[in-house]
Amino acid sequence: MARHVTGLEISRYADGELAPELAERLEAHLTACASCRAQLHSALLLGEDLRTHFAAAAPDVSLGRARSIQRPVRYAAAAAAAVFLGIATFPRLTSDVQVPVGQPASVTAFAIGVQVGTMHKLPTLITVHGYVVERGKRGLTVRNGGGRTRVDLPAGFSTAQYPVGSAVVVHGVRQADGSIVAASIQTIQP
Amino acid sequence: MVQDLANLSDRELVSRAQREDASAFGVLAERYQLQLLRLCTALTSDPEAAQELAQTTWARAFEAIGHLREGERFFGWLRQIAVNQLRDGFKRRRLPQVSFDEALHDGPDEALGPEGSLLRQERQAEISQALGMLSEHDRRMLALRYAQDCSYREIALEMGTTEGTVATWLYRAKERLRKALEQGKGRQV
Ligand SMILES: [Zn+2]
Repeated sequence: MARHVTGLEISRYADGELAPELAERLEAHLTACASCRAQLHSALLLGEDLRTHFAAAAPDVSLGRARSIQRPVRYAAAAAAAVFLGIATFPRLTSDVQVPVGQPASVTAFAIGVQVGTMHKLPTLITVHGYVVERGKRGLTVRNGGGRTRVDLPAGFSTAQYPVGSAVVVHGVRQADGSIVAASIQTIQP
Repeated sequence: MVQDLANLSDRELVSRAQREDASAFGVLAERYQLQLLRLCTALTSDPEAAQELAQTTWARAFEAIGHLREGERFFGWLRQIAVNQLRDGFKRRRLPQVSFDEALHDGPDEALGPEGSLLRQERQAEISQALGMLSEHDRRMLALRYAQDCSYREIALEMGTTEGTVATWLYRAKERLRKALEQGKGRQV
């Protein structure tokens, strides 16, 4: 039997990043080698576990528990998202998102709630439903596909001011061309 | 008619299939049927599973052909679908998933049944713990790839390095994650 394929090749193949000639050679080897095939399966599973981890309102690994909630909605259903996020139970809060009536249906409103964790911190990175929220020095960056936007946290903002369970909610609209606009930040307390 | 189609390149056939010419897709299927079956056999080893994987791959390809940009890379694209289908198959078998909306309701994940829910939570807790044992750099690499779905090329651009280096970094990050997972298991016993 030809030499086993390397772990690096298997990792690249599982990620769909191995050149076609090399991929074919690897496949030829897999047909005859159960051990390398098992390694590929295990690589695929690990990748899947990681995707699930990052997608499932991932708890932040360095800062303890934090939950995120997010729900992309057709704009017509944006109100439902607000209710879900608990905004309705905090009437002093109003949405800053301005969306003209009659937006095309391909425009998506989103509201991502990032909960303050047990250590009064926001996670550094959460991903839900294709939206990625990254914590920077002064604010949060929201990305989705090619679109990205940065929203500043209010001056003097400190998560320590808020009880655990508070959430920072980022609102925005993703337009048909993929760009993200009109993002704003609110803080809600339990 | 079909005779004519058989002389066309992959690129031309893909472009016709994208204009909803089903016979063009049929020619592609004929052209790559065996090659795909060989690929699925390599991936699964079991002839029955290979057949099934090939079938779902064709079905998925038919649905998604509109998204294929480089028609000349048809088989590479097909390969990726097959690998993804295989991966999804594992996922379904081992850890049933709930849709995000269902997951929003607090309380037990009824769709999974108590066992599936527990399994999933345990596995995710293990992953979470293992990630915590990695360096910031390793975690960033894994997040770029598996959270943001960046290609190696995109990661290379972001990190100011080459695709080859990205491949190595990611491989090492995954290896370290695997080790951390094993250690975590050891401690729990
Ligand atoms: Zn081998």
